[in-house]
Amino acid sequence: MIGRPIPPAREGGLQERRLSDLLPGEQARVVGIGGGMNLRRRLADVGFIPGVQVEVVRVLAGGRLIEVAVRGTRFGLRWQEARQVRVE
Amino acid sequence: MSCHRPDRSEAAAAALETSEPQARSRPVVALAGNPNVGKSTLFNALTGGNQQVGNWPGKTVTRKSGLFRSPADGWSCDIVDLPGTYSLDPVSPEEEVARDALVGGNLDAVIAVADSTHLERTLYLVLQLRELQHTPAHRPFALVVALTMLDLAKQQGVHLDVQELARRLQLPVVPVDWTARSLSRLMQVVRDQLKLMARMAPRSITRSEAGRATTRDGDEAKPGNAGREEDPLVVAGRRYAEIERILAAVVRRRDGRTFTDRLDEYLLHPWFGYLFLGMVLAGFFWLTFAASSPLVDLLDRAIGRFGTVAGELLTELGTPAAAIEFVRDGVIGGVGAVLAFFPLMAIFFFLFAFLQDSGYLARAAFLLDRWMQRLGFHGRVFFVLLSGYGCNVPGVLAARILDNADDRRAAILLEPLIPCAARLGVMAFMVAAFFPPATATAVLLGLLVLDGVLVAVAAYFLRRRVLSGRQTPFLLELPDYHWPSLRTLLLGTWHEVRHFLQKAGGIILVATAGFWLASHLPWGVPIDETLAGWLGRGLALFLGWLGLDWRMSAGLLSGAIAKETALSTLAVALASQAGPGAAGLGDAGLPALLAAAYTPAQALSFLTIFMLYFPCLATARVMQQELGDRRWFAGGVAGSLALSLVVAGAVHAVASRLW
Ligand SMILES: Nc1nc2c(ncn2[C@@H]2O[C@H](COP(=O)(O)OP(=O)(O)O)[C@@H](O)[C@H]2O)c(=O)[nH]1
Ligand SMILES: [Mg+2]
Repeated sequence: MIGRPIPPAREGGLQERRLSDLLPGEQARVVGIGGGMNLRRRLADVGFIPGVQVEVVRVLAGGRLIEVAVRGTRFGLRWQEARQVRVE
Repeated sequence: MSCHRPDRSEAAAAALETSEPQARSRPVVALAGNPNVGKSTLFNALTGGNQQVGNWPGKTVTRKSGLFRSPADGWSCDIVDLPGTYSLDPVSPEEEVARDALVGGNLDAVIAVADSTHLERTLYLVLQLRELQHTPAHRPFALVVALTMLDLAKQQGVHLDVQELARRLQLPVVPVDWTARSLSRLMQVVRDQLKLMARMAPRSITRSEAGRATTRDGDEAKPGNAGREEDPLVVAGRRYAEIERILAAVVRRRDGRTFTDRLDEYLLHPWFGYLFLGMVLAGFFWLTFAASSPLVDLLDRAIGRFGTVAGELLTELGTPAAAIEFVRDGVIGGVGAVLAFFPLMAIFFFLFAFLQDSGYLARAAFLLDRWMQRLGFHGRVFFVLLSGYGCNVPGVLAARILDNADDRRAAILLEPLIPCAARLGVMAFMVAAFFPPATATAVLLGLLVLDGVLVAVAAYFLRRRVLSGRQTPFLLELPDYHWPSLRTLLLGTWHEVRHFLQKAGGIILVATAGFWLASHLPWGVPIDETLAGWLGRGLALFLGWLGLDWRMSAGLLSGAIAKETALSTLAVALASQAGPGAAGLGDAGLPALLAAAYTPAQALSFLTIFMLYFPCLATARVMQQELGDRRWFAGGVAGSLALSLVVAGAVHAVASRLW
């Protein structure tokens, strides 16, 4: 799942940001989600869809664990999952 | 909380087995919703004590159903508490059960439970259910939304326009504040919907409403099936867009940091969070064991007293001595062995449910994932394995919190490698008999560390090599903190304990009595001439190379039934050979007997096997049940047996050099 190519973002630039790149307290807007069908569906079901505002609440374990708030709910994600969420 | 007094009808569960809806006498109403929205609380409030707890057919997912009876006119329906799910596209066995039940077409009504402090997310499933309701091919069912957590919404300064919400959703919405009035109002609305549905022909429902509800494309068909072709981001995006539109008109919120935010500053703090977690885990074990041990002792004494009284009574009736001894030590002793689980299990499940319902368990899993992801596991697995240290039985049952089938299997298979309190007791006693205090502590710790390493290695091997199936995406909701309701906790605890006693009680009883007979027949001979003695001798042929004799082997045999009996069997065997003078000696003389009979290397070899070889009967029973498949169980037991022999061989070789 990790090694799968990620479809290019709309702008297509190299310096596109991922949810995993955000600092604690930083907010961003989701622009796309990569990864396998399972991950995409699960993230979409709980509200990670293009256009939605997300906030990284805190980062633990040296960046391996990330707490994200979306639509008023907090979720714990691993770096691998957070990396699949493209933000701007 | 509930005012009605439902009578105890055992037919409630049976009604659900009937697959033909028409054949049922009562309508079936399911509670559906995201995890932690208050489904179980609602279920308990509606059904009172009138509940049946079992498993979903073919799954290790708990199924709870109960009977609701209206206090006003006696109208009744069956209520099913479905597992929490975020959507009708399942990613775990729990969610699969919920989806199958909802999509299966066997329900007359669904109460969609929505958390009013998290409407944006909880309405998502409501919309999916509404789509399902309007799917032409689907059997019609009534759909009612129940709003929970209104007190919390108010605290957070969220204002909700319930009528507007109902109008925009085109569904009945009932606020639930847990008063009897709001509960009966909820059920009244469900009844009205059922009546309405019965009056309308199924076709006309779908025609009149379908176009309006399913946004734009009418071909959206069954969620969870046809949705698969479309990009999930697009489908979900459409639903969330509608939710946003609805909520914009319905909710006015004052933003600010909630209580949960403030608490998490500490409880998920990079180091204080871990410190607190350590304290919680320590407290959890201290309470489970320290608090249950006086209760276990009390029960023990009560059973002993009961045995004595029963023995005297039988003597007066002129019963032969052998039969009296069997009843007193074999049968009543077996009852004691079953009941000994009671305090420990009750306290364990109570605390476990407390951690889960309060919202802390999710945080613990999140914090622990730091280490578990390296082994290929979900963070929750750590908690499950740790639960086994007290007693492997709750550990195996706790594996139900794992979504991923492979995680769950692996965790259950690892469980018997974890030394439970009974094993720790035997180990501590034996080690103390062979080593001076300071060395004894080090040796015991050494054994535990060895065990921890073996568990980690076995975990890695199992998850990476044997059960290397796909990983479920790691997405752990960190729910708001709640003060759990005592009623829900107590009811849940009672169900778990009762379930265990029903499943495992009989077999423990029979095995304990059976082993008592084996170690006493033929009657009157010393223990080495009994059946158990011969079995021990036979086993010793295979274990001799590890330094184990027939007495230790007999101890292992009885330990396979219940761990703590290994020591008493060994003691009886040793005493019978030491001559009649040593027969009556209790624990005081046992260390000396042990030290005289064995070398430290033999003792360590015995303890290593004892620590790893076989789950006790109670654990074996629940493992079998939870794994569902005999092959996994057999493979797991064979694996741990092989592991115990190999490791004991190594320990024996090293220890023979040292001492
Ligand atoms: N404050 C408050 N707490 C609630 C309410 N409803 C449920 N809870 C609590 O929320 C937690 C989760 O409820 P539960 O019924 O176990 O949720 P389930 O996962 O949907 O079955 C429990 O601790 C409940 O006591 C409510 O209306 N207000
Ligand atoms: Mg529940």
